[in-house]
Amino acid sequence: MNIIDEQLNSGVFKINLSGRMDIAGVAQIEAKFEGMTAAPRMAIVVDMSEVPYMSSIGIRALLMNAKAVRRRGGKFALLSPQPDVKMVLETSGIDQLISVCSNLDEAVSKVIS
Amino acid sequence: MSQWLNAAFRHLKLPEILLFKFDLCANEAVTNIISYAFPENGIHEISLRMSFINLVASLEIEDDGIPFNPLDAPQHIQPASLEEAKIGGLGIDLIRHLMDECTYARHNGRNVLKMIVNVPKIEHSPVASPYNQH
Repeated sequence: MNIIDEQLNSGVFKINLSGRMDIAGVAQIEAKFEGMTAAPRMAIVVDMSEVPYMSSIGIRALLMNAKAVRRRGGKFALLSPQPDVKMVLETSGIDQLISVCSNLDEAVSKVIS
Repeated sequence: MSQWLNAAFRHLKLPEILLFKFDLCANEAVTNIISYAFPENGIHEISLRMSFINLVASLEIEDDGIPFNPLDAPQHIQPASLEEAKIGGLGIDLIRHLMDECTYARHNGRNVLKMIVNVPKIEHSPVASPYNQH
């Protein structure tokens, strides 16, 4: 997997993930992912549009980071998951815990409100 | 394993739309087996067999580990908030949700997990034999 960070003008910190979010994929990015969601960042959008596959290990990575951000009062949203990945988020009920948005404007408004 | 499953799908002329489901459930099941069925480590064998007969797509996963029935895991309870969400335990829950039927049996000292999806409609009639990997 690949992970790229992007500071948006709105003050939102965007993290772009790409590749299969399976055991091997998550192992490649988890340390960087954790670093990118660390303080002082309070408004984080994770772009999932380039992730074609996600297993429970991927859910775990998203949950851990979302929980860490929430614990210090920050906000965390997911952007544009592909249909199969969206189905996994819905099946596991993660979409009830973390905002899942279909466009950037919506995601930005979720995390800066 | 994902590449093998891809080849099995082509070989059996299974509908492409089911590939993601089976890929995910195979990964979750094998991850669970590696985590729980082999406490003494060492060399073990996990074999997979994908079949498609009479509109039933079935993936059988067999291992030579200690008795381990993943279907015994308690049903996942949806947490009310992100704060309450526990990390982990989601793999078997995904399998339960995505498959139409799952069975577990202990046969000849081996765990046999069978995961089934009933295929409502098909475009091609399958004629091929099951696809195996050891």
